[in-house]
Amino acid sequence: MRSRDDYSGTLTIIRLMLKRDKIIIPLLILFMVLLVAFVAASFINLYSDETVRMAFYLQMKNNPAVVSLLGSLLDPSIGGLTVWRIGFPASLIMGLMGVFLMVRHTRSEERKGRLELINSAGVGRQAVLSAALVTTFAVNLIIAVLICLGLAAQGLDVYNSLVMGMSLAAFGCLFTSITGVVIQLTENSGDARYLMAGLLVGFFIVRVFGWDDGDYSWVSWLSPYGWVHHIGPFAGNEMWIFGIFLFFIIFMTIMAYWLSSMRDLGAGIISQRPGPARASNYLRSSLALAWRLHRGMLTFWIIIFILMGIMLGFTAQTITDMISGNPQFVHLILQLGGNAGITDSYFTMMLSFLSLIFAFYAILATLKLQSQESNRYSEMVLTSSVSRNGWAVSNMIFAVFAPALVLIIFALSMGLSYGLLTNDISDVTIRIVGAALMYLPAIWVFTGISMLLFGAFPRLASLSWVALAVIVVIDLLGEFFDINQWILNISPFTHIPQLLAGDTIKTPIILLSIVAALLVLMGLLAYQRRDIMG
Amino acid sequence: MSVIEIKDLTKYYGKHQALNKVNLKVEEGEVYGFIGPNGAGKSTTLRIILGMLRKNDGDVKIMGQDPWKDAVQLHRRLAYVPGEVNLWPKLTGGEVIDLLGRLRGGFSEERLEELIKIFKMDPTKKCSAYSTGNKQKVALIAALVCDVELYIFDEPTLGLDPLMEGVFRKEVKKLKKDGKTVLLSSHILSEVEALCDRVSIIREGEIIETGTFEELRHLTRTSITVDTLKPTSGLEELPGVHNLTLEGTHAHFSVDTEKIDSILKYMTQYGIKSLLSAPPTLDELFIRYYGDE
Repeated sequence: MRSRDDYSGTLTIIRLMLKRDKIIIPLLILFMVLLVAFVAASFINLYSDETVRMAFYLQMKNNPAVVSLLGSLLDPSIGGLTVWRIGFPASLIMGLMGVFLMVRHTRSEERKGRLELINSAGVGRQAVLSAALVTTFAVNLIIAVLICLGLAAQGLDVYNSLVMGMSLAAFGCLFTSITGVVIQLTENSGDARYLMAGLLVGFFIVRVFGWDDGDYSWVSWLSPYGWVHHIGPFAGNEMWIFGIFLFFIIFMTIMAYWLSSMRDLGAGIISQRPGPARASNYLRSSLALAWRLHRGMLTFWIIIFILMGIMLGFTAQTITDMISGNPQFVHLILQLGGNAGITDSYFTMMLSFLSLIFAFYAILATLKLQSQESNRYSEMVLTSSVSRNGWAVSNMIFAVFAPALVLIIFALSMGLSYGLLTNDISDVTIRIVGAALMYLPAIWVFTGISMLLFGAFPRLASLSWVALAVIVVIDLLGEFFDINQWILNISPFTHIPQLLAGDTIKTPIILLSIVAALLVLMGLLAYQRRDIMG
Repeated sequence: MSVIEIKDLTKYYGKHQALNKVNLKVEEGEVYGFIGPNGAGKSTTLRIILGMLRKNDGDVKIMGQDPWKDAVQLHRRLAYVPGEVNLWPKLTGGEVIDLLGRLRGGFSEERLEELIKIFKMDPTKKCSAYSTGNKQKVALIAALVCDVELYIFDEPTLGLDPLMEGVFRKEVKKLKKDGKTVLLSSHILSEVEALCDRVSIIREGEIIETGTFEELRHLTRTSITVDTLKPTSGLEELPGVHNLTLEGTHAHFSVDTEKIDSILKYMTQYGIKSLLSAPPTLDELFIRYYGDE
């Protein structure tokens, strides 16, 4: 089954992949390395004085709300602070990167028929999978080394910096290998992507549930995010945990190869069940078709976020109990600002973080229009009696309402879960849902950006992700630096009133909604006027 | 009013000129062939007709309407089968046919049953499980099941086996009998020869020839292989004779069709033992235009 010939051509394909991604891969590497380096730089800037740093360390270490999201602060050094602050977000991004690169080089290729061409040109059966794995693993390792250099250049200890870089690379490689398995099981790249996104979010839920100072902290060992945290660079370096990573990476890689050798090119292993010979009665409009296309992703995310809401509601309850039951925390309660209670600030923090995930979903849903066009599905519809506007709007309805729906369901489930535990359902739930709704205009701005790119510059539609990345960076920087207000104002999230923290609804949110609507409108108009790519 | 009336159509992709003053006229009830090599501009022209691409210059009228502005109304009166059929992977073939049929209008249940039977298609399979040929069949059935005025086929039999090609040809002949108009773009010349009344040849964005087969054949050569009783001579000097190979009494050459009479008269003086003449096919037409002369 496995012969030398299976891998022939791997090097050629690696070269092809690198050539194709000669801009994207360096950009991704740069983004990760700069992200980590910036955080270290900010801590050096703000907390080089040891007493100030120690105070910050104690403050953060004893704040259960913060600990539940980011993990416990393990060491008061600059390195320790850096690892704590960026560990989880960086792991998530490494995971996403691995998924993105793997899917790009395997399923997407297959869809576009390039794979058949390559495979018929005397290239081994396993060459493409091998090339994708090798390339993506290599990118992860390069990032690890460069992160080490980036930190060491700022004065941090080299060995610990390397451990930190490697811990992120381990996470990235793990999800790379898992993607390798998932793509053997799914029929197309869209499914692979949102399944992997679901896994990444799901493991996050598990990690939060097993947060470090909670009763179930052992649960964190069930999540790769937990493993990254427990390695503890700058705080002990539990190197044996790399062994766990290595074990699963190897296991997944072997499974990926095994599955790949079994299946036919282009098919998934979860075999096709026959479907209905006739379309159901409601499948008679482009809106019905759009529902068909969006419903899988929507259902999946609703389920994930119901679970997420329940977990977080439960955790909020534990945290509140911990803090309010302890007289030592009185000053903390005062410190958490404004009129907000402990749980309010916890919910605010969670919503604020998760709003980025909802923006991610909004972009994913909008860009379905783009994938429909590049796969040439939409032209079947556009050459029937469906107008361009009709088609675009049918899909836009989902890009607008789906993230809103998931957001509301999440807020409801979080509120209900917390409310049920504290016997205070209606008040809390309404307040949380209200606070969550405030994020919609910001999320819709991303719908608008994606729609504008799709309508006016379809080949550049992926820049939507760049827009999101820029906002993530701005939000992160804003936390540390005394940044010019106008830079912060670029991020739509800056303008969201945090109702649970005592903000009130003012004009910015209305302006944000108008901006979002205008972007969508411009996108629709541009789509009316341009050629359909084929 | 012609069903398709295209005057001086010009289209640029950036700096590259894809179509240069293309003229095309398709009358009602015609089966019109549109042929040319890959990249000649066939698909571009069709996509402009279908309102997917915007023209840079020229006039395009489909059934009296503007394909860009009046796209929605126009599309209710036509059915289209694209060159490369890509279908939503999670829908079954049957669902796609129903959906497209409902979106187009003129859907006929009886036609559906009939077509599924003669094309031997399994409508319960999801589109991702179909081979190229089967996806092609889905798109063809989705078009043929609708009762519209104009049918546009872009390389319709590309993935089909000869049996299914035959089925397709029969269906097109049925359409013609019903007075429908068909625009068929293809590079399978035998198919165009079998089905089309008139043909336009496009090359590098320009129409180089238009006409019926008789008119076009007139411009090509007849291939002649002859064995004579006495060795021939002087053949090569005769006007209208090309590519002569001569071995004593065995001669093979091609002759301009209008010169056949004078050549034969010349040949008979040497005594003709056997004569083989092959009518020009579109292949030869193609080679004449696309090969190096």
